[in-house]
Amino acid sequence: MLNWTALIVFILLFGFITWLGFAAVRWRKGDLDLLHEWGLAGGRFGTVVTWFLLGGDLYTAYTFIAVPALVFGAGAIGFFALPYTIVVYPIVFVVFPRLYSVCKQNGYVTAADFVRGRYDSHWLALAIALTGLVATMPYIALQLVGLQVVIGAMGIPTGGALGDLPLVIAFVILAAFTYTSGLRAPASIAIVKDILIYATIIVAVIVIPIQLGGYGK
Amino acid sequence: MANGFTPGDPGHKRKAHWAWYLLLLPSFVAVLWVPFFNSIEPTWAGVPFFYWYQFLWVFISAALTLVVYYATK
Repeated sequence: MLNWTALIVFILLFGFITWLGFAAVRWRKGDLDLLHEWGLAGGRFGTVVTWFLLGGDLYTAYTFIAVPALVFGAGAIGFFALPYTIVVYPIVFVVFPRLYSVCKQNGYVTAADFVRGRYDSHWLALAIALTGLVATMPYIALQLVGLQVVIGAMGIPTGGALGDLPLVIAFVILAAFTYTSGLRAPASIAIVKDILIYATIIVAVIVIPIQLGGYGK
Repeated sequence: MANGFTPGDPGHKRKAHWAWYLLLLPSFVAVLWVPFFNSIEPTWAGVPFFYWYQFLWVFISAALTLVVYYATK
């Protein structure tokens, strides 16, 4: 059975996000033929926008779907996802400022660039680049599985080749505006996404315990 | 090339004492030493210690990182 309320909300939000992704080209306008403009938005994002962008990357389908599923199946040990995110920030805090200033000084755009500059080995840089690509794929796959679950929850049938169609459409649109707008697209969408996530979490944390009778149960 | 301002490079004046970075260590110990907080009591609003302790350390470690950031700026 199609859940019409959820479906309409979903389509409206998805339409808005699609428009935003393509419109992001004009945000802090720059020459998108330059790689660092496309890939790093020219380094012109301030602290607040970067906060939204990173938040949208870290707290995503993994946090919403994978971790709760893990905790539901494996128990409290799955909660390690929380200490893991606590511990990541001090590590990044110590390492990244130095990395940033070195990369900015030398015009490095990716980790592979940095490795080639630091160790003067293009084979190592290639290995790093390929590892990065391959390592990102399970994460993307996870996002797609999460999206499929969401589509299924709205009542749209997800079996067979036809069932994959909504997912393919969503992914093609996503790829299209990321291709045209570069980093500006995910950054602008991350702002919307983070607001939605905050709203969802706050409501869930308040409403669900009320329905179930308090945290202690 | 850089525009002249590179925070964190060794030539920067008034380099902060390295000991400030030790303030980042409690976050690791507090949150990774599981036997310490692996209990239900003391509960808070019905939530077991195991959970609210870890949530608390999200905020404490953010505060500690903030202190280190300003101290080593």
